[in-house]
Amino acid sequence: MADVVVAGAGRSGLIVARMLAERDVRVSVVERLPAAGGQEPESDAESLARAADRAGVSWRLGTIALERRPGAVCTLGVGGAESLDAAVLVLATGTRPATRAELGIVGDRGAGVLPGSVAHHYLDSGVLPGRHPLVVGDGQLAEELCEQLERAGASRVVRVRRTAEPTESGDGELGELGEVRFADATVEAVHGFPRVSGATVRQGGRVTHVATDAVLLAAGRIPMRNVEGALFASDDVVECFSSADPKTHEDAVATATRACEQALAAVGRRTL
Amino acid sequence: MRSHHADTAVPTAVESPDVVIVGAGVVGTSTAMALSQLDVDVVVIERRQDVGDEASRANSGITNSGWSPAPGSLESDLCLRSDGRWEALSERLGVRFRRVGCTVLALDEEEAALIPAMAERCETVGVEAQILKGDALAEVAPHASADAVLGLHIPAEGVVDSVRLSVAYAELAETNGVRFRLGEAVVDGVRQNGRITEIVTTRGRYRPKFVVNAAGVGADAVSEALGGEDFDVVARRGQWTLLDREFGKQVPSILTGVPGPLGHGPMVIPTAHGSVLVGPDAEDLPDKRDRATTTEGIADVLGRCRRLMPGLDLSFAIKTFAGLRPHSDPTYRVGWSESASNLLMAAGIRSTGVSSSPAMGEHLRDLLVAAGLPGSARPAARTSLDYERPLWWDLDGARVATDPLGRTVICACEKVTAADVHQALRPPLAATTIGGVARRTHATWGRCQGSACLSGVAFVTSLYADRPAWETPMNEPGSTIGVGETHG
Repeated sequence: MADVVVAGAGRSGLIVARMLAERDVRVSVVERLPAAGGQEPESDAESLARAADRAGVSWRLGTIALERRPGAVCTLGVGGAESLDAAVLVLATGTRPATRAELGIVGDRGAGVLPGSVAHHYLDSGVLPGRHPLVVGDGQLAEELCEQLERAGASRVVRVRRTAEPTESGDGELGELGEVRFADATVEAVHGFPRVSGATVRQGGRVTHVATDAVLLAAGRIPMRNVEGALFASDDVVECFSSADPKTHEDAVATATRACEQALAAVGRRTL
Repeated sequence: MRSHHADTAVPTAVESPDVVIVGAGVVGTSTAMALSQLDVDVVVIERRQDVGDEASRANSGITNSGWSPAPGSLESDLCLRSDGRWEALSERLGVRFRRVGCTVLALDEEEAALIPAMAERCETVGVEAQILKGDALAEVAPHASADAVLGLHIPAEGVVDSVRLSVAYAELAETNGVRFRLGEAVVDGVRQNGRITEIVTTRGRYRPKFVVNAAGVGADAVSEALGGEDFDVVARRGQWTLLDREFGKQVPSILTGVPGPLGHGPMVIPTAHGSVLVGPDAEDLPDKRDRATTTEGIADVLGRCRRLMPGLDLSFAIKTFAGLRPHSDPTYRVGWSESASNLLMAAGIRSTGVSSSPAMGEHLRDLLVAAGLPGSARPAARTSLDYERPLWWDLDGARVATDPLGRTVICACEKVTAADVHQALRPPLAATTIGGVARRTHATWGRCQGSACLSGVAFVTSLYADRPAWETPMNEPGSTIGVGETHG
């Protein structure tokens, strides 16, 4: 029997782990958080974890996959450091929004320019990132942040989307819920120190200076890559990152199915 | 000249240390560490909230082996004296260091004509160097442009984690009794008979026997406030791009161009931690706080570095940032002041502050002792830091972690544990800001730029301060993580 380590117990990680375990592979799931489900557990997380458990998956919760070494994955967790046998490593470590560098935003490095995921945690913990924040992004995280900000007491939210607006309101005009929207636009620079006070928004040839007290980067779903020696797919490293935005169960299943096939093929190559 | 006068109440407390060091960058902290080996009373005054938080936090990290400063100069001498010591020093202080080597690339015949003189200079100061071309050049610098017609390879050149270096110097100094006064600025000085008799700061008054001006980009203002010489320090901004460790596998050594009238120009530098720094450009700015990046500046640096390394892959870029170097003419003003007899200058150190820091602290200490500072050793002075090293020091070190916090990874990209973060927030030299935690541990500095761990680091940091979580500062006062509490 071959050994596969799945790094990450989010939705697609749980599904691929179950699929592999059902195909007579010895599977260990390594999850950084103390419970299965990932950073933002969906409602089906518990049932997916139970299904994987029934299929025979073994668990390393509160544990992180640190490094890929030949035939093994080094982990560190509440139980200590371990070297798990792994013919194949499946990366299901989830996604994050694009960074400031990835978005090409220059200018001052004042406080208040945050990854959208961090803003989300701040809001959950009672910290208001800005009273008139600017949210960059088109997808689910940006949508959720805007709603969360309005509930939390933000007086105005500026929304900058890369894609054209699907409906209503003109560029830079007031939309619903006090939102100001820029479609087909990018943030070029942020200004202000020690906290951000403004941003330069570009729409084609048109440049607008927007006053804002927080710039929340919630664009894109970029794979989290942090297992040393296994940042990208290779002969014995399989990627399992769902990119649908908003996230859907169907896409997680499709992603996991693809990763399962690739992992089985890689196991075949490794064990022949 | 700027004035430093703050509208604070007249402070009443007066202290009389043997030495006041103004500035806690790499120069001030290395001096503090050297003095902490002596049985003397030392106070370090720093206007920022943390040590190593200006020029010392955004530089190349290169440890110049001593080949580029003018032979015979003090700068050259201190670099040469420092160079052989990095291995032992980095081990004692828990600061990463690698001797990666550097190759100066001549991209045309005109530049190639300048290489022999540089090789001669290396020989003069006793730094090993080889003139290489063709296959031999490609062997030592496989990542270098095939257009390079000639190269000068200097195998001893190294790179150090220069951000942590200042912190480590200061941690050891504080362990040995040096008092750090952070967030405190020099406002005024009193002089009598050509000596500084009193220093007034935003929080207190000091009557030291000796004063060291190591205030970096603020050294001219400090000199003016204390009645020292009149000179200008220009903030020379350099823009940088940091690339992922994964790309670092393709960058075994430093690549630089042939120095022109404006210096070396941008370089491709493997960092001590295996990532890659690309930069800097050089632009003198009127505003000494301007650390903004520009689209043009970043593009220019990358364009010039592509000439050195065509394989430079921007998809690995993690972040862009800018740093300020203190430039003055003449540069490297190190020695006794001409205006105040107990004022020791260590100013205008633009280029080799990190490189010469191991010897710089001792050089200044020796000058002070020669001028009458008691030179007897401090009883039981420590010479190394003994707390547990961050996990990134060695992944295999994870095996020995017994503390559950030491088994809980907070920053997955940089492999920083909860124990590392808590250590950063405790003495010696406890961090009080998120940036301070990052400088000590690298947490939030990896490829995801804190998207997974910044909130955790922020909340742990907030636990150590008696204030609401939203007021937790990134760095300077006002750089709070939020603007208030949420409704309900």
